[in-house]
Amino acid sequence: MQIKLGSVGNKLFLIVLITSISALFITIATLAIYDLRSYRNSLAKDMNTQAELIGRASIPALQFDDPKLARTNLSLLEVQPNVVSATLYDAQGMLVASYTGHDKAAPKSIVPIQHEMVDRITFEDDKIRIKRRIVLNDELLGMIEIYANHDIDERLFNYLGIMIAVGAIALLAALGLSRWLQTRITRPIQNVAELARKVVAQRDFSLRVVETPNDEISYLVDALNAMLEEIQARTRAQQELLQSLQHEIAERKQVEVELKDARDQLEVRVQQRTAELLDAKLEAERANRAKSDFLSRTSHELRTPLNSIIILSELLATDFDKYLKPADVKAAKTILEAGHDLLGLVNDLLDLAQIEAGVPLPIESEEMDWRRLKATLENMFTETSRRKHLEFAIKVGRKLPADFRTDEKRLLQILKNLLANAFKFTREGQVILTISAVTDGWKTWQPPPGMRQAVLFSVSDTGIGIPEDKLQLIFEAFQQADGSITRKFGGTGLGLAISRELAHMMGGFIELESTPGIGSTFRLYLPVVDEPETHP
Amino acid sequence: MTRSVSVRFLLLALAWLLLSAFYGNSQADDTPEDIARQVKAAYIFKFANYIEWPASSFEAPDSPIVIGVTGADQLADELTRISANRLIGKRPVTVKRLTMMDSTAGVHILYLGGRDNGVTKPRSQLKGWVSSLQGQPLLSIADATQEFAETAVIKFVIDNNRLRFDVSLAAAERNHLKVAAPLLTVARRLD
Repeated sequence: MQIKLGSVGNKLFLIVLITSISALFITIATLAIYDLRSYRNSLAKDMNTQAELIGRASIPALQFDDPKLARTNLSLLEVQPNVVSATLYDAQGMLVASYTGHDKAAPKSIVPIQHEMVDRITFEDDKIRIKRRIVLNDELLGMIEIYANHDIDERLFNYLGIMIAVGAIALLAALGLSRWLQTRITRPIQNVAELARKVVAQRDFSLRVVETPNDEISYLVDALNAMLEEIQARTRAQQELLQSLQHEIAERKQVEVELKDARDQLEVRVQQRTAELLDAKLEAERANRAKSDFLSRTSHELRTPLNSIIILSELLATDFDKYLKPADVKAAKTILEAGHDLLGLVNDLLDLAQIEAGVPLPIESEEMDWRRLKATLENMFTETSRRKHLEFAIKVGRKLPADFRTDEKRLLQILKNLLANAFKFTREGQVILTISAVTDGWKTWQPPPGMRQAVLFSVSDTGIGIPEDKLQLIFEAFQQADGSITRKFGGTGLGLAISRELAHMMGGFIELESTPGIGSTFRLYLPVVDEPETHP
Repeated sequence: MTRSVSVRFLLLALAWLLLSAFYGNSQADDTPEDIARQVKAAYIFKFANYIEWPASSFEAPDSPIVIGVTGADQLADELTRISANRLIGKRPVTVKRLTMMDSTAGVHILYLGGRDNGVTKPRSQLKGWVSSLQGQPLLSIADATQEFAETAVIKFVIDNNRLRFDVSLAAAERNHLKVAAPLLTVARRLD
């Protein structure tokens, strides 16, 4: 609750009291000041007249030096009970006569001293002192001095008493007035406050103030009622909103649960699928390996009888030619060639099978004999070039590294493939193998780290070329640029695929550049590494 | 002036000189006699304030009040000194030395000195002259010690070492004078 002093009723009381008392006090104080001033002035005037009269009456006494007469004159002041003393001085300011009034308390000390001759009125505490010169025909005869009580203080006290009495009356009036005002102003406000408290305590916004006085407080009441109306409406709206929100939240939770279920199911399915895929992959690998095993076993099985056929047909074609008819020798040679071809095919198949099965091919590392390489290749393809009327040349660069180590047999296999390929697709013109040392020039190769330089084996032909969209395709196993090509030029389509894998295993790379109708250039890059031992 | 008067005056002057030498004071107005004379002169002058003469005594409102002095030359000198440049009401004051031979016409105040004025007339004759002045509009003043003072309007008396005066209202009435009440309050005695 509020402090009692702060209540509206007390404030009203204070306002009324302060207003009335201050107004009264100001009025009384003004009156008192005015009255005291006029009293003082009239007192001064009266006393001055008195002094003037006594002074004039004293002229003969002064003129004819009659102190007794002067005293008699002064004693006329007996009728003025407030006169304390009166003194008459001669022209020289010497005392002539003096009078002491009823108030014997302050007798004038009669000392023969010269007094200043002036007209002067002075107020001293509760006394008034009047000095008045006595003049006749412009001649200064003497001076009269009257010393009298004045009751200004008494009047002041009277006014104070009136003020206190009036203040007390004002207090009572203010009490009554504020009591009355309280019934008219405070009670309606208290009703409003009571209702507001009730609303807060009970949270019941349907309550309304009924009693409405017809003044500003009714505005307050109206405002409060309107506010309660508003709050009630808002509370209802909020509750509705809350309900709808709760409903929505419930729905969302439901959706969330459903989503979670779906996600869980999905996860399970993904896991299942992954497992299935893994199984499938393993299955495929197993199948692939089985295929490779099968191929290599089959190749091995094929090679054994094939070797017998080759050896025997060679014997027939070379050592037994004098016993056979030329037609038979020719047939034996045909058998030998076919046997070689078949062996190559089988070897290729074996290699491919091994590569596909993920089994690394054994790669030797040996000192390179460039001259022997050149001789071997020339020996291998001179016959073919002559038969096809093609120009064939092997150009070996001079600055080839002497310490180049590689698997000569595999290198030879690659080069044989590339050259055979070139001869196969070239009808006229030339096939040229260029071997040189390079430090750049490759396009897509990523050379191994630590490579000092590379050896480039470039095989160029003037054949039919390869269309751009088939450039990658021809490296795939069993692929040739065109199905018709197989029919026209023969071949298994394994050579390039094997060559690329071999080059890869040797740390190198094959790049192909081709223009259809003009020719192709295969470039084999093999790295020259500082430590020969690091390369298997 | 007669010789005897001069001799008396000379003697008096000598005595005054001796007295002043004796008192070691060169101030002229220090002797009691001088002071008494000064006071007397001042009184005579001041009386004029309180006396109302018949209207016929003056020619005009600002006509002078004439003070006649007989048998008191020093007093006459003193009066002349006092009244110089002073007015009573609107009137100036003139001082005249008179003898019994002189007319008192036009004189408003007459001081009858004690001395014989150098005239070898008997005192009785003087008294007769003074009585003859009765009925004239004249404020006659005399020292009470003088035998002819009985008919004077104002008589100086020494009372308690103080110069006071008696006023004869009868004489004033005889002389057609009105004496103002304040003067009567100061008077020692009224007849």
